[in-house]
Amino acid sequence: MPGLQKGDSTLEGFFSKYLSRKIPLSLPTKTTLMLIVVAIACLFYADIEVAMTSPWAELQRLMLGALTPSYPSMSELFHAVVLTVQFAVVGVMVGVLFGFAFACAYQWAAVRWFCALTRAIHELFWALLLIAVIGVSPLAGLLAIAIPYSGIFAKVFYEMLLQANPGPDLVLKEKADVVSRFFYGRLAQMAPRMARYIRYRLECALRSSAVLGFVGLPTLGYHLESAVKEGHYSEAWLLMYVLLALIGSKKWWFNRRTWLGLTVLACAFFPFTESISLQNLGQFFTEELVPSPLRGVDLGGDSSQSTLSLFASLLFPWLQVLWVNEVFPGVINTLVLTMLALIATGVCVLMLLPPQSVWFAGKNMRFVGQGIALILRSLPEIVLAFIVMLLVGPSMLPAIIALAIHNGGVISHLLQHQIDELRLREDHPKGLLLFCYEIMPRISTQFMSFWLYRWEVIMRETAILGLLGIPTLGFYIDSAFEDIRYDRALLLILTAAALNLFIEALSGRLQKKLYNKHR
Amino acid sequence: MKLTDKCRAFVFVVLVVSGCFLSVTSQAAETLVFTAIPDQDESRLRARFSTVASYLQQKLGVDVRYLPVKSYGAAVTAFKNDQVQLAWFGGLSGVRARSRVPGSAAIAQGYEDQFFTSYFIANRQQVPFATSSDIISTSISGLDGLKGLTFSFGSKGSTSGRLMPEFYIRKHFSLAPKDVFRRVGYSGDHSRTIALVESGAFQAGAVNYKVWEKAVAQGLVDTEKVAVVWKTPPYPDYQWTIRGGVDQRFGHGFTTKVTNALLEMSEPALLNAFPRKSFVPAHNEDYVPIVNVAKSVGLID
Repeated sequence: MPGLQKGDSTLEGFFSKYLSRKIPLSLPTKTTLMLIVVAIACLFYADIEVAMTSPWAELQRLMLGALTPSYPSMSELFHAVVLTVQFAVVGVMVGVLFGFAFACAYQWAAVRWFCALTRAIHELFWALLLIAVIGVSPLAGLLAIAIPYSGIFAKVFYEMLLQANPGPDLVLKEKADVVSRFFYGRLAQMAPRMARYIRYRLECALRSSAVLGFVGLPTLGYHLESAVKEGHYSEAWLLMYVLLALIGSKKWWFNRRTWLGLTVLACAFFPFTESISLQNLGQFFTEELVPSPLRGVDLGGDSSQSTLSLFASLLFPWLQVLWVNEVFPGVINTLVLTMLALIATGVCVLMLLPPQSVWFAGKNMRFVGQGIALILRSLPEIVLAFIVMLLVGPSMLPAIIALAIHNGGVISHLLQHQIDELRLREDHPKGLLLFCYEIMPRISTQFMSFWLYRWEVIMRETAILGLLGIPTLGFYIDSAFEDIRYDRALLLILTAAALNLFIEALSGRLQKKLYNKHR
Repeated sequence: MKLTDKCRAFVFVVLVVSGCFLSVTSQAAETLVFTAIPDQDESRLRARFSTVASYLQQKLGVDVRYLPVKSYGAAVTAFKNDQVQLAWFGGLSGVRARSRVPGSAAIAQGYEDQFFTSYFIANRQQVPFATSSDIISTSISGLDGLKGLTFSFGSKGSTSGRLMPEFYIRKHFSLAPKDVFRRVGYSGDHSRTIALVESGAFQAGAVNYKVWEKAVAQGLVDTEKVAVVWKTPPYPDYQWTIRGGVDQRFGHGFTTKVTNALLEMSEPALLNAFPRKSFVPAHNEDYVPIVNVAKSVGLID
């Protein structure tokens, strides 16, 4: 701190010196500072309060549960594991099929928007909607994964195919038909990357599939939610260990040799038609999704002009009440939580990174560091938030902590590989100096791009944390489903989707800017 | 290394196959499926209602299955979509379900459900006026001390944990709960409300009086830490509701048969599942007060 060394004892002098010098800030720094300023502004609206007077008793029982995992019914556990894997595998594969089809037609704006909308709605909300339409059935769970994943695969596959080297395609141009050119010219190049992405997505799908239990599909999350809610921590921990083992051992059971057989088996035994009720399908779309003031309004008779004004006069008060009571506060809380969680995620990454890297930690330390990161990123954030809430009471704090450590685990894992592959000079500094002045500057673009990418993920997840009682949009969506008011639920879900698309566009623009600058 | 890979894959595949065979359930032509709102310790409800299912199966002569659900809303949805034909609903969920299925009827309620009440509970350490012994008063001014506290309801769709407490709060303060209390939460079920108030996460809450009394009797709640500070006037609550059209599906007079089977339930082991002393006849009209209250609070249109 040169300002202070020269005898400037006041903080003001220190700052004014820096400001008057007008040091040009790099783009990542500027972006980060901007986000931090926004987050600080959000802090004033945030509801962060520790309400628990004695969390230690609860924490003690929680720890005891971690050491004494047990489960009363092995067959129930086994069923839950099988169903969790089935949802994930079949869901991902259906998603791959449709995603690939959409990727081929992705140049059309309609397809692009459709895919963006499907992936902007969280799996859990898809599940709630589908359960309302076709009942609590395995098919609802399958579609809840397959639909948003189709949208994600479509985008990612399309971008991968664009990045393919156009050389082979040009060579084949005169000699082959369109289909062969596509397969041999582009797809063959990108197939390994696609396979890697599908394997990564399966990990996400396992987590999603477990979380679907929270709304009533009997996967691992179903029992996990009851166990945590009722304070049966031994059972809860066993279920978490099983989920961790399932995700951790993924490469053993889902790989080049097994994926096809596994998919065929999972599909063959998937109870597609079990307990589906389609008799309410028509009623759902023609009546329950229609805004309540418009139900049963006579459409015929009037000229179109007056029908329109009648509609407007009926709909406007309904929209106004919803806007004031639910949409507006929900949007504000969702944004506040997103910004705070984003900054906290950044901090978490910085703390989790050194113990995982060869430059800062010995072999044993790395094992511990990477193990912690694995646990943090494998546990669904809704479970983490649930546990933190038990300890600090209900407010935004558990949600912020849960989102930060989960996403921090994900990003730090991705960055660790990059850091370890860096080449340093022989006489490189050590410790904090190395981290701050060598490593971080060199990976800052990568860091920013992962961080900004997680921004929209965090936004989507804040919505579902509303199910825990934090009044984000998800809270009001849950209330609407609980009150069987699907018209409201739809409006709120679409609002959440729009917000998500906005953040996606914003972070996309920032990422592009950073990337161009970097090149 | 490669061999172990294959072994592991093989073992897993075998597990998956056997699991799938297990999960394929033989579906009988006509099975009566029933559900119950998950109002307290869910995992125990599953075991309890399985015994009720076998009792009904034996009495009715058809296959009876219990479908567990995660929320009050899901119970109503399952009833509406004909996934279940019979359900043990709360007052509000029953009203919601019957309004969506024409011909459905409340057929039996617990003896206690004719004059059910909710207790308002408070953490003794955090709420000054709750430090003395239990003050069970029905005088509505007893609510005054709750203003400005943090408060937890039960499930959002619960009659005793949300609807009736909210009704009396609105009546007394002429304000919505979010304006009366510093923070309003929805714990999800009654047992959880008690646990949250006991731990101090919330300073006060509203619970189903049956769940409270059972928790006290079983020593699940420390009454040194939590006190009952107010109780609501009586209202009708839980009831068995059956879908219209079951007579055509299961045979003439099936509704009467189910009603009688429920009313004749006398084994303490079965009644403890609810927990009720006995069941008495019920009718849709008994729940008109609930409809009116729910409309005034804005929970139904």
